[in-house]
Amino acid sequence: MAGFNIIGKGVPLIDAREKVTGKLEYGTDMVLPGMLHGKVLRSPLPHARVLSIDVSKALRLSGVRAIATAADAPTAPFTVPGQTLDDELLFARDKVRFIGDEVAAVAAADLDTAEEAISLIEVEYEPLPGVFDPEDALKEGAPLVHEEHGSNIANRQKFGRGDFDAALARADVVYEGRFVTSLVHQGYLEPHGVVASWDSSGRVTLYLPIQTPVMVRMSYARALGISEDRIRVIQYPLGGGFGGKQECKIHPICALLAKKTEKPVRMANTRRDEFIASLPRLPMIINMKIAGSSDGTLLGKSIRIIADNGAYTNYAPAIMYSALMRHDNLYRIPNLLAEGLLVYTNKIPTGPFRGFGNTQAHFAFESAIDMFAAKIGMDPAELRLKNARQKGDVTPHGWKLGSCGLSECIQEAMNDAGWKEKRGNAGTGRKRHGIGIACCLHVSGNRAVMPAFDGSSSYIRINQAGKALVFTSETDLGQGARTTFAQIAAERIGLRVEDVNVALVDTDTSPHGWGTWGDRATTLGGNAVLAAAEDARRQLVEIAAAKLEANPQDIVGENGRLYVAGAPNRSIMIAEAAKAFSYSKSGAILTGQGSYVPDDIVSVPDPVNKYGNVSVAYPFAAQVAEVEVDLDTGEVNILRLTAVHDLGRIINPKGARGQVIGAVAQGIGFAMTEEMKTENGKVLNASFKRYDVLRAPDMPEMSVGFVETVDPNGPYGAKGLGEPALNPTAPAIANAIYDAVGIRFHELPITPEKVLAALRRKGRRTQQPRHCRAPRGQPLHREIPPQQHPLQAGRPQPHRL
Amino acid sequence: MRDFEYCRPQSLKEAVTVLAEKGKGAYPLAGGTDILIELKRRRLPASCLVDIKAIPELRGIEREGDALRIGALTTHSELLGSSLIQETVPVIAHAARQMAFPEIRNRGTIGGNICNAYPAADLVPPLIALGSSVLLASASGQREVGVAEFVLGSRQIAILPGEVLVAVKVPVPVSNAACAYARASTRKTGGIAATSAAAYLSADGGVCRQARIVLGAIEAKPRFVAEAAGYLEGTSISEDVAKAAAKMSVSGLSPIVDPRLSVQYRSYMTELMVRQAVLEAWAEVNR
Repeated sequence: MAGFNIIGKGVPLIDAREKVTGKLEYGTDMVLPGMLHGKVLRSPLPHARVLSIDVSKALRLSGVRAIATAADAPTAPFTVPGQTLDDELLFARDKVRFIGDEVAAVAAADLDTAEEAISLIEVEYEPLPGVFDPEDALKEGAPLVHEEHGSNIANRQKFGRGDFDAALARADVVYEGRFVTSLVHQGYLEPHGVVASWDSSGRVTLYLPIQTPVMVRMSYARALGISEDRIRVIQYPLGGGFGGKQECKIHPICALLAKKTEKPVRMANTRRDEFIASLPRLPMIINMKIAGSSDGTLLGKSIRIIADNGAYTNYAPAIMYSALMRHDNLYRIPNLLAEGLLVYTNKIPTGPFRGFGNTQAHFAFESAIDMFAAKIGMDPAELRLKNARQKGDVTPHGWKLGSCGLSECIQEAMNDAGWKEKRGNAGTGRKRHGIGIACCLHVSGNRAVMPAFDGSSSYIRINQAGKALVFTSETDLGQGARTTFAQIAAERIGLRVEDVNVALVDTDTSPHGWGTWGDRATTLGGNAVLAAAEDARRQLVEIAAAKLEANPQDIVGENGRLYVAGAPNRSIMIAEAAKAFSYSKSGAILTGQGSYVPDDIVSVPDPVNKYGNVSVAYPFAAQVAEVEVDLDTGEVNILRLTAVHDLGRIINPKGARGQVIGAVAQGIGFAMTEEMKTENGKVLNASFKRYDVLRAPDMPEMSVGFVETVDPNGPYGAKGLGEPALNPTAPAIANAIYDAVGIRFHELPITPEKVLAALRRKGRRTQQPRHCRAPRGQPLHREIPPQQHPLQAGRPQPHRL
Repeated sequence: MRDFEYCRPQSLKEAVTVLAEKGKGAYPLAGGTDILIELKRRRLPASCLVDIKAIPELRGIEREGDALRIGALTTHSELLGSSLIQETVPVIAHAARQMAFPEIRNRGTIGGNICNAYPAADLVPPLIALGSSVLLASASGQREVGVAEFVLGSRQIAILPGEVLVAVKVPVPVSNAACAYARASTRKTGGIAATSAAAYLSADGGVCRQARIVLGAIEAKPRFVAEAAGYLEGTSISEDVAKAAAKMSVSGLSPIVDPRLSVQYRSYMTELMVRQAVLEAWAEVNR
């Protein structure tokens, strides 16, 4: 990148060496003297009254130090920060509401003893009828998951812009479809873990692999019935998070056990715990209606979501809100209507997962856009280009697009993938070829609902050796935020990137920040680091200017050295300047402080009608999938995936590329292979053995491209990338399958079994989907010749010798 | 995990002595990829693990006349990397490559794959189709049992107390015979077989003389499909013939439950796998 020394360079991740050599210490590697081991007893039933809990046998087991139940925990229910539906307790009190609900926990000298003790706790349950389908849960007389709540509707939202009904009346063509997304897990390789330890002053330290070290103290304080200040969180490196490491009930439970035993306690989820009692993605049933003119002008869109909350409410209301409206800001659609019902069921509670509702909605929306294009006989990429949002737009929801490279993303993705040549060219024979496109936008630096957390703050200490340490509370969950911050700081100060380290968060010493979610890290955290770097630089430059007898404005920093512009031999090492600073101030360490306050840019959305510019910046993307569908087996082979992303400015091309590839892997999993299958609330495939996340060899050929729009609000113009990279993948694949075999899949994942069944239902196709213009005002129906799949005959084929 | 004893004998003699001493609760430990999981889940009543990894007699791949002798400790990675196997029974290398991921293939052994008797074990159907047998040793001597007779059902084997699997004997197909293995899974790489089929065929003058078809993963134990094999014998195998034999193979199946896929789809895929294996083996025979 011209003009930059470090921004735009593919520097290796700050912790790459430790990771690849296996030297990095994760949270549960930690051992404290006298540390005990904890384990949770989980409900085996989806819905039951807890009649009695007898821990006497378990307590008699040698090595057992304490057992905690609801009797030991505060009775006031709690929820996560910023949400209002307090429906959680540390342990189930009178009722269990899902298989996996926490009933009791044991602390013992070792894990085997804790496990043994768990098996000795006797719980008497009275089973209750359960409800497992969100639509069933809405029916009259359905069992109530929370009786005190009065109904199974945990949250309801309804809002609109313009006049959707009028748009509907005016439209030539309307497409309506019902889409269903499945229960999928974040699949981070490191399960949740915690070590908890109390000091003699009554303060607990939690060592956590967590995305939101400062924020979790709010809910954990409520869960434990203590003040936030009595919780110190020391962040450990994360073995993946993807939104799933913002909360975990074993953390406060562990604190409770540590309090009871007066010993440090370690707890860690097994993979099974993860699959039955973590916070997977909120599944949704989405009804989507798109109304427009036959020339491709989009007039209106309505969405109705029924979301399967599971047994307790985490961030699901906010996730549903995101699903109801974020995608509206992708294309120019003036009339909008949104309604969402968040429904309790006796299933695993759900929560944030990379995309935060936008992933689910984009699957429905971008599939529906394609179907609308098919109805009016328009190339779906052209339809998107025609309606694409542009820089400077203010959307009907009040979003101000300071930068927008959507059209460029679409065009580049089309060119790279060979869209024009490949589209509508399925071929004949056993394997049919298809190509599909989908776009997305996301927030980057979402406005929080609490003013104290709106922006971000940072400080940078530069020691006498000229080594910088950056403090921030926006965390690195493997995506490379620490490296990004180091690059930003190094660039601004003029340090070498290897001389900058970024501290993990310790709530006693780090700034107060809300942590990483909503693609906050690069924009908000990056701006804060930039401000702190500016402050540190100013102080260094003062010293350098005095020593070099130059004007401070003429001092340039580069490669660990400050010099006079135009006279590089008149220079001083940054280490020397930092040392001079320290020596002149009795050992003080040169510290730059910076805050980024986006007050005048974003606003907290109106709580009722949800209007407002929620984010500092908005990243955009287009992805094109090329697939091959095997008509005999129903298998879909993804041949190539093109991903072009508007990320504002590339800070680190290696990191950016890695982010996209990783997100696409999760997107393909969401589209094709991943699903937590449940039966009466029981997860049937609670292990990686039967839950198919993609591994490196499963990936298709990838082509990753970037569009740099240089956002006015991002640090050096950068926007977030981690979440948007996942959103378009599933609909791009579904659209490619439609191009190949003319079948629209409304339900995820699109497994070979579903594809084969659909092919059988429709009859083996010999023709491609025809793209022809519908008569004005009339929906287009394609007749499919009712040919039987050869294997439908159900009897052996006649054979000849 | 319950407490257990651990010992690491240095010779086969020492191992069978320990196994005899420790009695019913003693289990041989090789790669540990299955047994350790079972132990941690408290599903294995083991009081003693006899680590057999140091025993030289259980290693190595050698040709012994018309057969290969594959030591029980041979890992999946060794199987797929062995030039002797590639030259003589490439289907074993192919099946080993389907199994899980490199990490597991580096640990998991042929002996373990058979003794674990998991219905989806990839090596078992081709071993049975080839007519392989296992060599078992105990304090009272050695015996040889066909793999087909040794695997009794899901996680059930015809092993006697005090016995350890020493080696697998695989007859090398003669020049006009071949064996092929096909399997379907829910994922591109590393997935557990949802259904699988091995076909062994020999030919004489363009006509199939001997056929053995074995289905894996779909039922609790590997299934010989005699009718379909009999149907192939005496024919010149074509696409249609293979299709018909495949159809016969799936009649009367009692599939085990796999939460990932419906019984109908797995039966259908079984048919495709039989067809594929038969056609591949036939092409190999006629090459």
